[in-house]
Amino acid sequence: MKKGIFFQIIVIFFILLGWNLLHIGYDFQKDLFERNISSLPMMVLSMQENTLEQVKIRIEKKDYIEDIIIIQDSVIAQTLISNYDLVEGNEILRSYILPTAMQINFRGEIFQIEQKQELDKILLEYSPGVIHYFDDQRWQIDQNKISLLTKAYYAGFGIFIIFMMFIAILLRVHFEMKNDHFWKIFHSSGGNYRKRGTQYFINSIYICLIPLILNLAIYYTIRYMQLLSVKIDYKIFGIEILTIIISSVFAAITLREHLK
Amino acid sequence: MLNIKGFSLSRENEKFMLINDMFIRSGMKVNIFGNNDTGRSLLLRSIHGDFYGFGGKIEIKDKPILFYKKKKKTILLENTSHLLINESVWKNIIIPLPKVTARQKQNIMELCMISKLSDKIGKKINTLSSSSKKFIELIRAVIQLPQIILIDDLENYFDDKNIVTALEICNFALNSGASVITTSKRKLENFDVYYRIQDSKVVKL
Repeated sequence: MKKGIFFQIIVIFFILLGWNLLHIGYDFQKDLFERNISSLPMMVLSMQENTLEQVKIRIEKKDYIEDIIIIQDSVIAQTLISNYDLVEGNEILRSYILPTAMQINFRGEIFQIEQKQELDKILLEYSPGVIHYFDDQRWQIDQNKISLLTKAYYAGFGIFIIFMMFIAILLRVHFEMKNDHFWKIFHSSGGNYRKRGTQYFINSIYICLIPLILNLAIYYTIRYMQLLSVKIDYKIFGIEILTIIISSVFAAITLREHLK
Repeated sequence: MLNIKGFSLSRENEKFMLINDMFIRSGMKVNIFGNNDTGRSLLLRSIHGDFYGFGGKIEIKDKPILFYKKKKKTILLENTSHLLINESVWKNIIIPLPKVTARQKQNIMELCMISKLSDKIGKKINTLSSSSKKFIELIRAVIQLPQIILIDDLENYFDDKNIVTALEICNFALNSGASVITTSKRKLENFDVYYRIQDSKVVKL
């Protein structure tokens, strides 16, 4: 393998590595914010347990619901007594009629603005019999963070596509032009006229596949060793190889007169 | 093998290098000689398929030269040297070969011996004389056994003794059915067929 091709493979390998680190970093950070949302339960209170059961039936199949726990009033009283050491006020507390509570835990990766609006609308239908408590502010902060992170990720993704194409085309054209003298001599000395085009195609296969295979090997090794919890979508690898293929095609179009 | 009919070149509405009929069989050594500016190089480039601004018809094995555009069966050795100066003699000889067979290797060594290049086979081109460089190009052409080897201005690089050596190298391809067409300013010895360019016409001697 020629030095130029080897150099291009190394450069593209490192760009891909950086690109994959961007996906991993994004997934890792997004996962963190989503877990924050998952840890925010919604408490729904009602004096009628039946109403809560109806609400539960209506929403438990929603994909953004992780689980729903209905807590009986007696359990609430017991929890309050044990948590706040109210043994002396036991009888007083038992004399009060406490509401039944329903704790809704969410799947952070799905519970977004649209889903929250849908849930609020459902709960509104049962008001004033049902009231709910949710840390909207914290949820909104996490949503904003996810939104900002996603925007930054897409921007980074776009930059990587442009950067990859720019570097891949630039290097390809540079090394092909550097070899132009050799090919002129090759052709004038009687060498096969199709050889340069064939060689370009073979080199394109090396440049497209080797860096990606190395990246995949690293990724799966780390996954196998359980050092990485997040997964990279297969489509991402598809986009990566497509970018390199398109770069090779653009470079070939630029060099068409030389490759003939 | 090579059939040229009604060939002419034009310069400012004036025709020159007129060839009525030229037929060159395989295994022939042909010398076309004439003064400068008579169109010798353009004739070779036309046969090679590098120049299409001519009148008439050129056919190699009954097929027009356009047929050979991407699968050239001719090799042209021009005045300018086409070598990789930072590479060795060996590397320069094997440039066009897809794979060097043991037979080819042996032939190359024999041809290098004839041209006194065998002790310089690993040396870089930039240390060699211009005649040695031309020998390398000649060996490189001959080893590929093309249909026609075209050599422009043979006497430019070789003295009479070296011309004999060059023709000896050419014999390798000639024996396999190739033809050699050379141009020169004067008539050279040891050729089978001679054409003289006089009064813008090419005449067989």
